[in-house]
Amino acid sequence: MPDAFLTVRGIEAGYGGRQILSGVDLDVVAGEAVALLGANGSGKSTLLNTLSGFVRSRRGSIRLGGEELAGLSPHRIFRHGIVQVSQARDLFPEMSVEENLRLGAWTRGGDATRLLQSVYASFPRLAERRTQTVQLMSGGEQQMVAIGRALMSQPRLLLLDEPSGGLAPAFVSEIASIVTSLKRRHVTMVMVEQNLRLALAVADRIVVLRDGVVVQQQSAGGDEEQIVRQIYL
Amino acid sequence: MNLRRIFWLLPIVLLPLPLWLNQYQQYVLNTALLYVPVGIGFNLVVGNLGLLAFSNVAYFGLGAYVSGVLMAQFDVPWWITLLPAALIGGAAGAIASIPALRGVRLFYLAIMTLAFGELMRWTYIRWEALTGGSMGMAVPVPNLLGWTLDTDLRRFYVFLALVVMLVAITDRLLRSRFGRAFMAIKDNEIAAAAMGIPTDRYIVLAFAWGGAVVGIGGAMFAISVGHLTPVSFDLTELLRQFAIIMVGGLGSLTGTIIGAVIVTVAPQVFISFPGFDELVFGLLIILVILFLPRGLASLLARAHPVFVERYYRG
Repeated sequence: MPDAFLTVRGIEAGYGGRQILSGVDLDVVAGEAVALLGANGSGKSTLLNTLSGFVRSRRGSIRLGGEELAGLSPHRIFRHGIVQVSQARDLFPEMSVEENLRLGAWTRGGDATRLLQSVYASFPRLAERRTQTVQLMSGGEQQMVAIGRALMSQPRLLLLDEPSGGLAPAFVSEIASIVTSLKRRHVTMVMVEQNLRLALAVADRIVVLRDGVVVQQQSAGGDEEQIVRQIYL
Repeated sequence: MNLRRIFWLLPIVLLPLPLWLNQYQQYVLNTALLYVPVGIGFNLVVGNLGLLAFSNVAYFGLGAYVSGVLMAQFDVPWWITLLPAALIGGAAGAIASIPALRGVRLFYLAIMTLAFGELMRWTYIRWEALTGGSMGMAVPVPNLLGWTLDTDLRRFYVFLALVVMLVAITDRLLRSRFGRAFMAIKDNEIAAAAMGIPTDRYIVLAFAWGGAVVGIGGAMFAISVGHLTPVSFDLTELLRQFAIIMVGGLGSLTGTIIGAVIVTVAPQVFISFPGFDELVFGLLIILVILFLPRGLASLLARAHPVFVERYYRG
């Protein structure tokens, strides 16, 4: 196995007095797509939020390309290249598609037109609606804006929190093809996905969490039924 | 071609205006001018950053008293007092941002920052040795590099130059990436942090910049009225300043200028009925909220694209 790009060791984190993660270890290789699976409350989203800094880790280490990031604030972690597309989408609802996308490149300063063109090339639908206010768009389109905006910052590690959550079936397959195309471009990804079929279709490897620890890791090619048993039983 | 350049013609057009006005009207005009920076600072925090902070009168009073006391007790020339007035106004702004940094929002933030303004008024009353207490203090006639600013006409030109400068600098600030950061924080603070924007730093910056600009407005107020009393910095004053940004348009620089003029001139209609000011401000706020929630600036923005401000939605 090649050297890991993201190395997580013994991460503990939670909300208030409640501990959710109790010592998570995880390695992700550059260009790899990892799906985090697990029942509700197993700590999948908390792990993503800890990687992006929105939940502060109490113990443990998070290294990206050798640099220690545990305990840094979200905007600093962003500058190190970890970008999260969260379940709530976290868009700027009153701004247009283009303004949202441009804010993705805010930390770079200067003109982001070239990056914008490449995002529009990947998402022609966003180019058509560039002046539309985001709050008037459908959930699937908003998800595209959120992913497009994350790409504007040219992330080193993309975190996707339920990219297909709450979307119509037509959009789920569209999101799947977007994620697959990101993989072809060797974007390193960690995603949380309730839709097991989608997760197995797009990820290289699956990591199963239970009660805040990793209980199983394997390549995504395995038997679906067996994986379901591991998650829930 | 940037049509917006025509806006710089406005101050030139205004140059001969006071010559047609009587002395009292000149005083009203100066008051409208000094409320432009006062409104700019307020609007930056409430309109552009989207935080409901009501400590604006604190910076205004501090700017006025810092300037007045330095002139009266330490013989510092007025134009030099502008710097400490801005610095102390800015520092007060930074201090007022502390509750916001701790996550206090909405009316909790409004009440906490409102208390800051009231605390300052209490200080002006109690610190008699410097401020003359509730009886107030006289502000000496200022001198600008040998030119005595003893008439409203003379003060007008100094004020106009200052206001043009402050509007220009704030305009630059709002169109820069700072302005984009403010708007992002206003629209969705968590998303702003998720896009790498150091939200805390920008909140302090907006408060401090706003406080500094308002502090300069306070120093202008000091020499315009010539006499400072704590009652000038009470809740009615806050209502007046709030009316300026509401009537003009939250987040709009053009709106602030319009608001400053309207809110200053409108109560003159009721000049023979003292105490009607609050009623006028209250009525203006209600009418605007009902019929023009984005303020008068939104009318302009709809009338012609040249009035559309990049980081304000009309």
